[in-house]
Amino acid sequence: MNRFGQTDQYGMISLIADSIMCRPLRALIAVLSIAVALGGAMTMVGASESLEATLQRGYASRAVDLMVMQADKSNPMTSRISEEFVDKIKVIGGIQSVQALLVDSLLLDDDSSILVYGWPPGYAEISYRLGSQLAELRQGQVLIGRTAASINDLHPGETIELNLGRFEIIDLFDADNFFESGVLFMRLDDLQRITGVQGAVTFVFIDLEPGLTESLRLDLVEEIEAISPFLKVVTTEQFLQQNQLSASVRGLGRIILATNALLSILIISTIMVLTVSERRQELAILRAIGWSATRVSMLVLLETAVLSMVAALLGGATGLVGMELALGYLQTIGVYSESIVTMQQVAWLCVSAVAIASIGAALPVYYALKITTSEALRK
Amino acid sequence: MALVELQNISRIYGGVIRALDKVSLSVSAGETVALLGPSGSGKSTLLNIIAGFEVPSSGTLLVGGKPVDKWQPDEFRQDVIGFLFQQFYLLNHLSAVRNVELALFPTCRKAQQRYLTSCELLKEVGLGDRLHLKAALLSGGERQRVAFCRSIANQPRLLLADEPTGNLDRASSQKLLSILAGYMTRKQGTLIVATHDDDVARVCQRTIYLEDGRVIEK
Repeated sequence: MNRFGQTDQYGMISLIADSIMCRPLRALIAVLSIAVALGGAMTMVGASESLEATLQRGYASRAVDLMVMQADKSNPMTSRISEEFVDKIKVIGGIQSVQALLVDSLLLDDDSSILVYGWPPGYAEISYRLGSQLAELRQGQVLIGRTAASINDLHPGETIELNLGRFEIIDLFDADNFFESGVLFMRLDDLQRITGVQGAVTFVFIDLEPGLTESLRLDLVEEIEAISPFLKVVTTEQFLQQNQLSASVRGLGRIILATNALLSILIISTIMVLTVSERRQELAILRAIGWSATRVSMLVLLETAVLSMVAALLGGATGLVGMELALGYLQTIGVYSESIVTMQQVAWLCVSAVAIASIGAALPVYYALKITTSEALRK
Repeated sequence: MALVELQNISRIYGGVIRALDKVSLSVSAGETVALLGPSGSGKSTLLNIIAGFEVPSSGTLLVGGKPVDKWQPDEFRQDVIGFLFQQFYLLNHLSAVRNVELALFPTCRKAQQRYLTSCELLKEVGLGDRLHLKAALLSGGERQRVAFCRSIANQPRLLLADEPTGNLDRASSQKLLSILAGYMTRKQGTLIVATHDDDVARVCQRTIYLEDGRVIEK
């Protein structure tokens, strides 16, 4: 490198960098616009996938093979099935354990919502790392997940109001997953009483005996569903697919992703067409000194790609911040999720950037190829 | 053998404006030719056609014994011709040396070779101390010398120059002409230059007068 900061290794990439840097404001606007568009989409997709992954980890950690819920409910959280079915399911062969659960979202101290699990006696058998006083949980007492306690600034010994009922927090618990660490546990009969659904539960979790064949598994599902037409048996994966909140966020995320990708293509295309239009003479001169049409196209294409890749990186970072904010907001309405970034998401971001660059560059490249030397130089 | 041969070349714009009217001429290899004539006489159009920037409406143009449309356009512009424009047409955001390097990009030379060749050329025309200055910061004369280096970077068989001194003051014109004449003598190259300037015509071996798109005197 000489004293002017120039090296003797000047190639296509250096030329592209120079071309971009000689119009810094335009490059900045292009990058920021695409970054915001991609960041917004990343936020939605990242939040929905984090939510799903968190739920999935939760069910995986509890070793739930099947879930029984109300047949005609699209939102599983509103499922209500009679407790009497639980006893009938328990006696079916091939089932190792059965656990009923009532889930509801309750108003906490009049200013926020919290998800509450109502467990029947015997819930200590499930795989939570519970507080020491758990076995002695009595009516009017609750256990609070460590995340929920931290977010709502609650401590053991305090009394809280839930749907106008007063409850004492007797201990904290740690769940194996972030989602359930944001939940509050109480006795099933307490939750049934304050929500007015005596004798009903939301789900029945079934842990199957190990080594069950697929055919026996299907028979078992049929046998459970034969108990009552109100019962529907789903696998954990099916349940997650049906989860309305995560499905809504996922759907919204995909719509925003598609819209924003299109928006990004339009932005980069417009800016590059403007740039090509402004550089007609420059491109014509390159053709005049022997540059092939392919080489000129590569120049425009690579310039678009560099802008798109920088925008994708910035958009990815913006998306991560947005995802944290979105998950933070979900926590205020009682939905807890850790932020999970997968390699798949990173790969998608890269693929999106390349796709945006390729499609967005099509028009500018076409425009650049149409420039004739004599016309461009005459103007 | 003629390096450039035009047979009844006409160029008509929009079916009405006859910029060139059945021009026939021949330029041998190693010859230097000045195209003289008033504005609008068709000098630039003739150069653009020889360079392949424009297609004639009728007639035949042979370069190196081959019809110009049989040449690969990129190969033709890279290896056969060099073009020096009146307005220089440098990339103002790039330094002098980068502007010359651009002409060497399509060749198979490595980056360092491109750089060294460009530096060498610029030093030869007295711009050794301006190598890394942006084109926008150079004077008119200096910019035209950079453009000249760019046009000869690939050692073309035919150098075309359209009013190369048209935007220069007298001193800069003289300097460029002496460089141009020196180069043509040294390389035994072929030059066709369109000009109003008698000084430019004087450095050429032959003068061709154009008027209203016709050759009126060779």
